[in-house]
Amino acid sequence: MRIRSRRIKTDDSLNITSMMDMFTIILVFLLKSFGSGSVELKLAKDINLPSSISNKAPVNVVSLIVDKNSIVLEDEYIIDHVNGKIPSQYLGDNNLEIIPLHKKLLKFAELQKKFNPKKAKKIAGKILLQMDKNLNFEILRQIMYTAGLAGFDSFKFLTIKRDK
Amino acid sequence: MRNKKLQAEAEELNLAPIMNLMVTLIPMLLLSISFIKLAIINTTLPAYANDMGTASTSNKKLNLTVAITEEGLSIGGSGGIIGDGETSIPKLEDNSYDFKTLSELLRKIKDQYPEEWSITIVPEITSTYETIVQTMDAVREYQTVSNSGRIERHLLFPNIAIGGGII
Repeated sequence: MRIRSRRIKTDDSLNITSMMDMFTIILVFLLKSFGSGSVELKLAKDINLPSSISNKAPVNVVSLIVDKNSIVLEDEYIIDHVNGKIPSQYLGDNNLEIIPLHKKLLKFAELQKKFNPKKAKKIAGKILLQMDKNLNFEILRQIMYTAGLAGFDSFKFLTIKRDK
Repeated sequence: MRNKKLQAEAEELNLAPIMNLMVTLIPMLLLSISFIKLAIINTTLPAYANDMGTASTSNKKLNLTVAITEEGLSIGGSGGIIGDGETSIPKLEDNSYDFKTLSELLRKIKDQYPEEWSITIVPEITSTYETIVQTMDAVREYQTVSNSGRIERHLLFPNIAIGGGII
């Protein structure tokens, strides 16, 4: 009797169709999330932002960072502070004006007007403030006062969005 | 017979280049994406904000203020329509501020003066930035959950100014 051997045919190629489906879904999801954040923001490292229920999207204006140790205006270091206290040599007579910050703000606004008038008009008088949540009102008051003196009277406090 | 077999083989699409593209695109997007959602709160210096909204029922301004002190919160309307009296909201047992009561009281004021949009927050010099932001949240709007489970936002006093502070 002749035994008929049956060769089992195996398909060696990998079926990647389902994997493609998965990748397509991930790609669409990522592209959607990527497109929603229209403003590119540089977040400070040494900072704990407060959380808020606000749903207003961040805007690209003059960036002022007050982290745990220092004040930085548009990537330019201004001065250090100690637990929210500005060293007295940097303060004006009324203990509110931060002199180096006032000078830098005026200079920044002037340079923007000179070299980028379109942007200067858009960001005029507006500050996006990133400040550590544990700092006290004293330093915030000094910053707001100084900014007000330099013509920046509108503030946008950057926060981490929470739903409820 | 042979032609049929060839035709079947030709129909199979080569997905390898598309896979390569996906494998490159996905890590690139994952690197550039931000998983933390950010939001901003608008505020101005006092003089400007107070000009933005006034009670239409009277020429006199409401001058609504919320003070943040060590003892708690207090709502006042110094020289304004609601008089000089203050409504104090003491801190809770866990030493945190009672923002829920603040919001409820402000809702009552908002019902009386629906055309009023401005408020001034006057923090104590030692108040933390986090407390100020939480107070701003409480005075700006309140949220309700609808029957369908959707969160609805209702504006209270969105034109917030931060005052000089209590020394």
